[in-house]
Amino acid sequence: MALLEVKALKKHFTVSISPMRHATLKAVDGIDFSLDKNRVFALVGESGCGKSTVARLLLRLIAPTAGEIRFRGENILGLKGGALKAFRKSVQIIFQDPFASLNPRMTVFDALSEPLKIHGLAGRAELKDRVSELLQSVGLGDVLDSYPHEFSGGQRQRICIARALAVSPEVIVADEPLSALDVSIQAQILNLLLELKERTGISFVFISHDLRVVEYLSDEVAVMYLGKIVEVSKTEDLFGSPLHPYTEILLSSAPSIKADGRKKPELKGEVPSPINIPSGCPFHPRCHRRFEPCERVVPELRQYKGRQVACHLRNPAI
Amino acid sequence: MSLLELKGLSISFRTRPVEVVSDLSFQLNEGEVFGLVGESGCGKSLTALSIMGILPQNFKTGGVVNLRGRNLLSLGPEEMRDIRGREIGMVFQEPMTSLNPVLRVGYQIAEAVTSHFRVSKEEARERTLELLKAVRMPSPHVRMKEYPHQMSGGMRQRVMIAMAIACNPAVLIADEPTTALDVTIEAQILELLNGLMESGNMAVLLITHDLGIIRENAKQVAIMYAGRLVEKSPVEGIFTAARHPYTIGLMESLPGQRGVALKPIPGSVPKPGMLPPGCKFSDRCRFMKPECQADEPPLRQVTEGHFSRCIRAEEMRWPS
Ligand SMILES: Nc1ncnc2c1ncn2[C@@H]1O[C@H](COP(=O)(O)OP(=O)(O)OP(=O)(O)O)[C@@H](O)[C@H]1O
Ligand SMILES: Nc1ncnc2c1ncn2[C@@H]1O[C@H](COP(=O)(O)OP(=O)(O)OP(=O)(O)O)[C@@H](O)[C@H]1O
Ligand SMILES: [Mg+2]
Ligand SMILES: [Mg+2]
Repeated sequence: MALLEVKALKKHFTVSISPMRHATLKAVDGIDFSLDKNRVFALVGESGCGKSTVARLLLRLIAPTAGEIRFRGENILGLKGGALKAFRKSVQIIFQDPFASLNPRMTVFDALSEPLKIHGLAGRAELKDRVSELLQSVGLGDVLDSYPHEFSGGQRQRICIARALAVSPEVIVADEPLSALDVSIQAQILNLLLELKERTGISFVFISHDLRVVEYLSDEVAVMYLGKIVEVSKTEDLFGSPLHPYTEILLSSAPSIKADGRKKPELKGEVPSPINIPSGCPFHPRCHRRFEPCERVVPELRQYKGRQVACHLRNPAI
Repeated sequence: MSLLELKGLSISFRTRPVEVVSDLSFQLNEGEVFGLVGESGCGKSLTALSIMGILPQNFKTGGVVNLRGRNLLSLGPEEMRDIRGREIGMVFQEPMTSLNPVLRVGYQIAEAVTSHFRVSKEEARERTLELLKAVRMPSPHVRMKEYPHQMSGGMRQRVMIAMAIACNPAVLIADEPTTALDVTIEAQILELLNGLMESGNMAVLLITHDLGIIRENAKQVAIMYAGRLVEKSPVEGIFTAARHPYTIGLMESLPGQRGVALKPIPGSVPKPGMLPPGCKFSDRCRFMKPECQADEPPLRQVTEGHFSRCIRAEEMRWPS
């Protein structure tokens, strides 16, 4: 049984387009995936395609419009009392915006000792040692009595990582957890996460725009575009031979420290909007490989050579 | 031509004699990106805030920050208000902390325009739309009526960028401006900035941890460690012949092949005030010799235009 299973998950928001008119914004529009124990599942995709919304749904911080999320086989929406508390301990999140997720009036010690106390994971006497140890593991020294505003962006991000690790969760949903870190500290934290994975069998849903890190860390990658998954592959396969034209463009747009003079493909056309999703394949207006069925028929995510892709090129519409 | 010049900038706590940033000097030229890279917590954002004149109360500055020959550090709050936004635009590292949560983003961008120019409401609205389109915001008409919390991380970042360039500033300080953007939109935003630099001679101070972005966009680059510049060079120099052990440590930390353990720089940065004597990187440096902990080495020129704060800079070979 998968640890975490997502089925036909949707999240729609209502937004006002003028004082009297409203529209539906399809942030997440029917996605499926599953996460096994001891795996890293990466979510990548265009800014605004719904990744953070998926993260918040997984944590039950917001309710889905449709679909379900199962943790160890149980629908998380049905969890109550002790089972809900256990779920809250088992699945932790590292938010994209560290400052907004830290209470400005709590010292680092308070922020990190709170979850330990709530879940009864450390006695009074051990609290301080345990918190210091957590901070040490993310490269922060003796900062117990400081407040969030006294830190740099990357230091705050590390406090959030330490907080997620504090309760020894089974799953961490990490939303751009390394984006504010210099590459040396990033390497240190990647080593820490991999070591934890090896030692405790923890799993990650890893959201990132840094494709190099995704390639290094993840076992499997899902590429999202306008609220849908357009490709899921094993990491080596995806980076070795992308199937979806959007994935192709994404991979070749990444900045590189090698001055190889290669020309980057340009993603032409209007930036797509989840308020007004194009007909047929949502990517067709910008696709360099579109053909007849693309603007008419929505491609489903289907098996293709042991991988999954939603593209008429790979799975011709009949 | 040099637009903005930092000469011996230092930032220290008001209450204790501890410098967080020390003796920082570099200059930004018209039409160029100057890349600033450095360890997390080394003082990059504080440097940016001090140029903008909005350093937190508990810090004070020393040295000189010249904008076209005028020392910004000696200006009063009124004069600085005129310069902020108009002459120097800034993209802050954490959008949620600098956007107002209770105001619509369109209003906030329009305000950035109207605070410096006399324009009608209609003109401000037009300009807002134009800016949102320029930063590749989808459905800009709808989005301008949204509040920050209704947007994705990358959309908020694009709003910040729109506000920062609203008045065509001469200098743009961009503190990690693309961390929440996917690589395709990131490339488009960098292209937008490159266009502004070419057409308006804007100078950009780009703070980022992404060495790929630096390589592809910056003309000059400076590497900071523990509040100091440790290396400064035309961009090629850093990537073809790095001259400081910290820079080399960064390059070696980059993720490579799967399954091969990463090699972060050993140890961690001591707090300001607890740094080792002499070279501040010496306690973590694999090239350390006893002389390194005598006097702090100056930033000195090693090859044409390429400066390093290492006494063994000439011996450094990276990539080997
Ligand atoms: N509370 C909300 N109200 C209205 N719209 C929302 C809300 N939260 C998210 N959205 C919209 O849902 C869409 C997806 O947003 P989300 O934050 O999930 O994107 P993302 O993939 O995380 O993007 P990024 O990479 O920029 O962080 C966006 O169009 C966003 O504006
Ligand atoms: N308001 C404050 N009060 C006390 N110390 C502060 C404050 N703001 C920053 N600091 C400290 O000053 C140092 C420099 O911070 P700064 O934000 O400039 O770092 P940075 O180089 O931008 O790092 P990052 O890459 O993580 O964003 C850090 O050690 C930080 O803890
Ligand atoms: Mg997000
Ligand atoms: Mg910073």
